[in-house]
Amino acid sequence: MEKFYFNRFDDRKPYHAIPDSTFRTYLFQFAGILTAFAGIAYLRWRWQHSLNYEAMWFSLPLILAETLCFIGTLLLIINFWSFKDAEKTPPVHYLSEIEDLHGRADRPVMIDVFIATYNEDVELVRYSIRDAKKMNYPYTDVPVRIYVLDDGRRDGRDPSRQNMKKVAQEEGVGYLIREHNKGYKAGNLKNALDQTKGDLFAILDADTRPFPDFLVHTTGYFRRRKVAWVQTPQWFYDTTPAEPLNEVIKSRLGIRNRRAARLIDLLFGKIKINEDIFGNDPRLFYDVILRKRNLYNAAFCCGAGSVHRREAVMTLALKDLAREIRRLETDLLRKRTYSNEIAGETRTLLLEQDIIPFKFHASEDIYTSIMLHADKENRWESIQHPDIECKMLSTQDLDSWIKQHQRYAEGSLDIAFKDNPLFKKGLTLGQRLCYFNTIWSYFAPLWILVFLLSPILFFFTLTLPVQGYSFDFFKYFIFFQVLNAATITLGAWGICTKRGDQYYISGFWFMLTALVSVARGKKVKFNVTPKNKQMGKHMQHILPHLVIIGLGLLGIAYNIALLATGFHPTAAGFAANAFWFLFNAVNLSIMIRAAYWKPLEPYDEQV
Amino acid sequence: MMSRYKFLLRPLFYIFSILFSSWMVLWIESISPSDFGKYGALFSTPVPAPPGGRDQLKKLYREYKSGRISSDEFEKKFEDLLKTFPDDPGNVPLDSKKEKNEYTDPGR
Repeated sequence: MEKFYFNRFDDRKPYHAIPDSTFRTYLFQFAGILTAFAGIAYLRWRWQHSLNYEAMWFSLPLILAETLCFIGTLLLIINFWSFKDAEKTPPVHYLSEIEDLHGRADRPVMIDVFIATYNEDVELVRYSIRDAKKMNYPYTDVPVRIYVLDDGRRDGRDPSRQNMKKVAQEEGVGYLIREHNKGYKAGNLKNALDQTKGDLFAILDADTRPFPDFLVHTTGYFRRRKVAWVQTPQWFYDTTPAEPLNEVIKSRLGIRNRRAARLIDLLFGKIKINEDIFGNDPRLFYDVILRKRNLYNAAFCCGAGSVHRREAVMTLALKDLAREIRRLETDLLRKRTYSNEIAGETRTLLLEQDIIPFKFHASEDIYTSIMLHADKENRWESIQHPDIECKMLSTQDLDSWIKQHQRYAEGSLDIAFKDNPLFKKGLTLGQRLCYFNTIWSYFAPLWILVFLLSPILFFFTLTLPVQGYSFDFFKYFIFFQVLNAATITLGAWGICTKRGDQYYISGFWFMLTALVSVARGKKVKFNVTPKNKQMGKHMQHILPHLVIIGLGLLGIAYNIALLATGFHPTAAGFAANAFWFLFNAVNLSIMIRAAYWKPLEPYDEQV
Repeated sequence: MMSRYKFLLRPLFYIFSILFSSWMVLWIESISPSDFGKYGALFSTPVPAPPGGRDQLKKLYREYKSGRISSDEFEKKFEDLLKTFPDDPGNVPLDSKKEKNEYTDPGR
């Protein structure tokens, strides 16, 4: 098989899911309640006593930003409340184990595995196909069929392109294509469902390599008749490894001198940097955020690495069709159309309208999840499986990372503006809050931008956004921040959140772009995440970061000059804002570092 | 016997957490500085100032001007504030000053 950059990471072993602990859960809940109270006390004091009425243009946006940010904290506490993993059961054998037969003859259950691809290297897809072929299933009479869903139509018609069909044939798996790309990935899956018959089907992306027990560990959940899908954690096994700082310095500066090299080794030899430089590790999301949503039956599908019940998505599709027909009939009745005309129009609609199992949307997975959860008649359930059952590739450059995350942001925001789950009929309160939490996190640039600009505004206007950095300010603020940090640590026990926090702040610009784009009604595009390194497209992403850091440094220099000459009105204000700016700058710098990151040993294989 | 009441543990835990949090908030509010805020600014020359006196005076004035407190309330609060000024020669009850005609009240 062809060699790729990721072959060097093949030996990496996945992490183990965080073990559930009742004691830790109660400790977290206690800390969460304390944080909520401390936060409310802090904000009450801020609103009532700390506003600088002489600079409301500055004071008001900051306090609004803090309040909005606190809403996010409350939603996170609700999300993190407790684990509720579903009981694991052996894999299913017969259809009667997963659904009522209603007089039909029983038979072994049928399972399809879909590998969706568009433009990825066919040899990369071959790895996924081979791993899918290695999947075990304890019952030999259960057919497990693998299909490559090629939306790139690489069936050999264009000799200048790679031939995906040939690879599928060589590997002995099914190959399904369509003549258009309507509905993007959702359309691709719909096309596959139209042509296959599996009672359960697994969705894998082109780079998703399932482990041998993927199906063994996931199909048992479907014994619960209302389980619509099971999502397994996505584990990126090719995140950048930690690099010794001394080697990075020597390599970047091209140091050849032995003495200098030895000195650098002595000073920096034990420090490691750049581990997961792109913040790709999604463990916090899958092992905590999504897994804890099992409590509210609100874990949503993330596409790759999930197994679905065909009946659930098809029921949803048929309901959508029925709704369309009802809407048409109502319209025609309003126009006083004759009954035979109504019947004719309905028949035409039935013939022309597609049955769409997955919503045609840039975020088809989360949107379909919302619709299934909101189905009052069926009350579909979702399960976030705790253990890793497949491995995937992560983005290897900043441009691809931003494209991928911008699509997530735009998709989620589009749902927020058009079909907000907070007001969606059929969802329970817990589900509403959990979905709203996801959407709310994409509004973060609104407050992050204020937090980033505040110290800079102070440096140049010498105006404080609060009445003063008094004892009262610090007593409320410190209590709240310490409790908040303790709560997050307990909630995400065992997972380092440092990189996530950094990207949360430094991702403000692309999230702001996404927010503006969706608010202006721009159509959300489905960008396929590139699986190869995109070079030289970074400056546009980090320019805002450089501007903010540059302005901050200029502001600090100006303030130091004022202090030195005795003209600075508030040294305490400068100290507080300088500290605040440095915190921001460190977090912003991660994206700049990521933009210019190169591995110490260049990947000589294909990337 | 105890297992019959086990179901009460969780609600009791939440009630305790809420009560403890409420107490904590009240406690935070009651904390007053020892010497923090004794000085007008953290890094400036330590000019002794009454704790929060200037700020409170400003706040009181703003509240009175904006009509959020009546003149009676203002007077009472102002007196209370004056009492907090240590070794202030003016720290004499307003009433006694009125008797000595040291004050003329422009508002009446």
